[in-house]
Amino acid sequence: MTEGPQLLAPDDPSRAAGRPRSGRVRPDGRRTLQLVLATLWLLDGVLQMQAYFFTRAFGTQMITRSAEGNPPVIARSILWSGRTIGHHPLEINALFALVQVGIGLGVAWRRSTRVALAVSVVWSLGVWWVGEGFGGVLSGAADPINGAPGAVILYALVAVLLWPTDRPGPRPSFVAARAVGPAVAKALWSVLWGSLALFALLGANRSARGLHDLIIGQTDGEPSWVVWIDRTSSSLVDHHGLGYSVLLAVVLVAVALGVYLPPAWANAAVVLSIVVGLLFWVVGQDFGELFTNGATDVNSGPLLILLGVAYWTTPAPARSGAVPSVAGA
Amino acid sequence: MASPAWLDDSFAAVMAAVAVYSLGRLLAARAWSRPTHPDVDLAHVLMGTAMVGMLVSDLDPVPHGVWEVVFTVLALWFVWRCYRFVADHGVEGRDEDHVHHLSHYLTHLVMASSMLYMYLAAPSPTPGSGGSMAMGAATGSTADFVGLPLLFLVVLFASGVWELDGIERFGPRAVPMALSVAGVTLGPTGPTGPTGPTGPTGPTGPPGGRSGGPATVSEPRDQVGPEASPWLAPRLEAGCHIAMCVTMGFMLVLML
Repeated sequence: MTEGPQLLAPDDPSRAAGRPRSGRVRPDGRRTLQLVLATLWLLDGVLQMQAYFFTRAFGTQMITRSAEGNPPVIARSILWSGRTIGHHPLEINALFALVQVGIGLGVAWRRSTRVALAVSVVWSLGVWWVGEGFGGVLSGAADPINGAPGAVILYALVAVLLWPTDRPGPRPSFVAARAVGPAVAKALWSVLWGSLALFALLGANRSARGLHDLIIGQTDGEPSWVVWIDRTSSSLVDHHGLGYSVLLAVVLVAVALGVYLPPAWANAAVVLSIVVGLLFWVVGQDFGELFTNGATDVNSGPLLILLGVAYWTTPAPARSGAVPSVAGA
Repeated sequence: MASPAWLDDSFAAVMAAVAVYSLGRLLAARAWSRPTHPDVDLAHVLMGTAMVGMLVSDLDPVPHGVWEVVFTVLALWFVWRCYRFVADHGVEGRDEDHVHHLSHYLTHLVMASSMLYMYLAAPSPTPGSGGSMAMGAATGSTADFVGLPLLFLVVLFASGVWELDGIERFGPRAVPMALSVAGVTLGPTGPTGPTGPTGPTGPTGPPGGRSGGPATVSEPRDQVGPEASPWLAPRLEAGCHIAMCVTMGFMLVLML
């Protein structure tokens, strides 16, 4: 992954030609990931503009459904929000879409990257509460395969890890550590993947048909090829839910601890995390259910992949002659 | 289920503005002998006009079936441009304007293809709809090809985000601002960041360099030497591209 800007040389041919020059500060690793994040936010914002979300059902059905199983104090706040949205779906959903598009464009524009990332953290926490009911973490319904602990909280985590500030000292060997330091970054990674391992073994997730039911239960509205993927994969795990859940938990624990291993092994864990994220996204999340006209975001798969890339260890850059990163821009 | 009319109207208004501006841009570039990309501007005019008609059916000035031909031709044109670009500059090269890469033409190829997809996959126009298409999810066999618009969607948004990320390069004080956000200071010997000195001279400005004051690594694209005509409003061009990417993305989402 390229680090540091690549600037035009003084003998750039465009100078001699008297023509406009690119002058682009080529994004480094962190900035590139910020731009991917911006793209996801932009996509989320436009997804929010789908017709369904401008109806009462968005608030009174979709939002209020996330209250199920949560502690009463949490559930009440979610129900209140759902009703409020249901009463003013046009105005509130327009605001939702505008905020998300604004975050996407704000992260992309270098002048507003910090503000947009900060807003995204606040926004994500709010939506994690109101829109996702804390991803089922408090209700015991969390399942990593279909998006627990909630895609939106991963947006907040990614925003923090990609915050455009460098800690003093030598450049860390992976992007996610630049803002918070390697120790905190690795701890966050371990907490995330460790919690996914825990969720994989909770409640119905370890029942014989739990995994099968989860996969096959989301085929409504999907194109035939996605349904085929669901049917095929669900038949593979049918009646073997416990075994697959334990296997998944072992893999997730390996990913969680992998970042503490030497670089080559840490990168192997990162690759494993990306594969797992992709598997979740395709099989467990049906590509974020983007094809059903009811998705508000891309779900957790792409975020897990993005996180994995941010933890990819590269050799430490040479100190002399290096060019400072403008990833913060 | 249709999206709210005011939302469609808002996007249509933006697209109308982009189309009108791009048309004016074509005329102004010719009148003032200013360099620009005529094919890209023309593409923006056509796409903007077509999208206005897709969003507000009463405003579609072209009979059904014509746009399909137009965007097929446009897509083929950008295929040809991509081929010529690779032949002349290679995959990694830059255009004669020293700004654009192959991705510039690839993106416009995707945009033209997206327009074509939307016309082909959309439900047939209903009587009284003004002869234009109705926005909505793809139907019939095309409903199984939703992976294609999703791919288009990602390319368009990535392109818009990329363009916005680089938009400051067209301003007069591009890199000093960019570096300052990362806590990097610029001086006579180049930038120094939190990680220490970064090179013997750092990024260089105009030949001969400057002593003191912020170094500028890029001349603004619209303020080049006296021997060359300045590029016509590059930031507005980028803004049009971003608006078009977002609007087209919105329409593709409705068709997923």
